[in-house]
Amino acid sequence: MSATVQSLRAGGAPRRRRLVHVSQGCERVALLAIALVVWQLAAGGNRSLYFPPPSEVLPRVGEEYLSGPWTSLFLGEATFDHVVPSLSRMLRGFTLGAFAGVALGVLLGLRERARQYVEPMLQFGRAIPASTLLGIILVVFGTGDGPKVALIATGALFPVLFNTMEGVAAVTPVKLDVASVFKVPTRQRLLGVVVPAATPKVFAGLRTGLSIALILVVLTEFIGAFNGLGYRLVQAQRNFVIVDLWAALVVLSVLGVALNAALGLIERRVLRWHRGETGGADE
Amino acid sequence: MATVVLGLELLIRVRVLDTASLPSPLAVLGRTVRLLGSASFLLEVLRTLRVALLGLMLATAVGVLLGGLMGTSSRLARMLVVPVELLRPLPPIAIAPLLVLIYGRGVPAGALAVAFGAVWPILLNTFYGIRSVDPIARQAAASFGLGRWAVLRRVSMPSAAPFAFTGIQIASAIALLVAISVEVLLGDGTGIGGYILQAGTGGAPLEIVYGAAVAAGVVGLAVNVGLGALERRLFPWRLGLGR
Repeated sequence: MSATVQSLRAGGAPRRRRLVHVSQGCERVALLAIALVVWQLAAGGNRSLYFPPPSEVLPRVGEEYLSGPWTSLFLGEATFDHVVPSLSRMLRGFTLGAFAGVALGVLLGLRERARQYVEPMLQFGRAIPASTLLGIILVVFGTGDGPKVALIATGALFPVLFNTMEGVAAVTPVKLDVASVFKVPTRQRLLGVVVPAATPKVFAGLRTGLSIALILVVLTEFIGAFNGLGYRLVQAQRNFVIVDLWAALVVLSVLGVALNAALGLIERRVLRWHRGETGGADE
Repeated sequence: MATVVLGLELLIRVRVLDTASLPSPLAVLGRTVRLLGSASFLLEVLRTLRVALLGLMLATAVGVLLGGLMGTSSRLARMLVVPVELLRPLPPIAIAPLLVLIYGRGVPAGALAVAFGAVWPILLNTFYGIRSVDPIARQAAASFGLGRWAVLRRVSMPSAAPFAFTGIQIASAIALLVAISVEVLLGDGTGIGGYILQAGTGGAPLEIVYGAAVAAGVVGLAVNVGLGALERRLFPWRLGLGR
C-alpha cells in the first residue's frame, strides 16, 4: 500500500522524489509518535488490567529483549532464548516452502498436461487449513524442530505455488513463440522470458506465504515447544503477566514489519523494470 | 487423482511404504466419509464455521468501511498507513492468548482473532478497488449532476465491490486457518482443531486423525466453491474481464 501512496505522491525529478521520501519518512515517524501518545492516553485513562500503557510495555521490551552487554550487540536474554529460535524456524520453513513452491510452480505452469493431472489434488491440499495438520505432525513426527519447520513450509508453499503457476501459465504465447523463432535455448528461455514475466505474481504469493509462515511459527510454539515467541505468549498468558504478553506482541510486530520490509526491498530490486505496472489488488 | 490414491494404496499394501505413520488412503477416505456423516463431528465443524463466519463478517464490516474511507480520502489513507502497517504483520493467532484472557474461552475470543487476521486483505482490496475506479466515469457521473454521495454509491461502490469480494475470498482461507488455530490453542477438544488434537494425542487410530484433516479440507473446499458461486451470481459481468 505504501508503494501506491508513494507512487501517487512521488513524481517529477529524482531530486524532488527524494525530498518527498524524506518528508514522508518524517511524517511516518510523527504518526508513530502520535499513535503511541494515543495509546498511552487511552490506556493510562482507564487503567485496564489488560491494556497496559506503552510506558510500561516498552521498558519491558527493552529490559527483556534489548538489555544485553555490548558483546552480544545489546540483545537481551529473551532475544536469544525466544526470538532467535522463532526466527530461525520461520526462515527455514519459509525458504523451503518458497523454493519448492517456485520450482513446482514453474514446472507445472509450463506443462499443461501435468498441471491438469495434479491440480485437483493441489487445490485440495490448499483447502486443508495448515493448522489442522499440526495434530498429525505432533503425533507422527513429535515435537522437534524439523516437524515445525515442515509445517511452516507446507503453509507457505501453497500461495507461492499457485501464484507462480498462474504467473507462468499466463506468459503470453507470443513471447514464447518469439523466443523459439529466434532459437533461444531452453535454459535461457526459462530464465530470460518465463521467470521474469511471472515474478510479480510470485512476489504476491511470497507476501501471502510470509504472513502464513508467521502465523504458523507462533502456532507451532503454542504446544510442544520450550522456546520461541509463541511459547513466550502462552507462558505469559498462563502466569497472567499481561505486560510480558504485550512485550512479546510488540516484538512480533517489529519482526513482522522487518520481514515484510526485507521482502519488499528484494521485490523492488528484482522488479525494478516492472514499476508502474504493479500495485493492483493481487495480494 | 484416483490413480494417485490407488497407487499409494498399492504401495502401502505391498509394504513398500511404512504403514506406522501413513495409514492407507482408502481407510482414511472411508473414515472421512464416516466422520462427515457423524453428528458429533459435524457439530464441531459447525462450531468452527460459526467462529470463522462471525469473524469474517466482522472483518468485512470493518475492512470495507475503513478501506472505502481510505480509498476516498487520501488524507485519511496517509494517517492510517502507519497503524495498518504495524498491525498487519502481527500474526492474528498471537493476540489470541490475550483475547482468551479478556473474553474467556468462548466464541467471542475466537471470532475476534479471526477478524484481526481476516480484515487486512478485505481492507487493502477495498482500498485498491476504490482507488482504481475510472476517474472519467466518476467525472461523467458528477457532470450529470450526481452529488458526492451519489457518485460514491452509484459509480465507485459497484466498481470496487468485486475487489472487496476478492479480499473476502482471500480472507476466508485465513479465517478458517485462524479459527482452527485458536481451537488448538484452547486445547479443550472443541471445533475441528480441538477434535483433531484430541484424537491425535489421545491415542485414537491414525486414520481418524488423517480422516478429520481431510474432512477439514472438504469443508475448506466447500467454502471456496460456495464463495466462487456467490461471486459469479453477484458480479456476472466480471467473468469476461478476468482477474
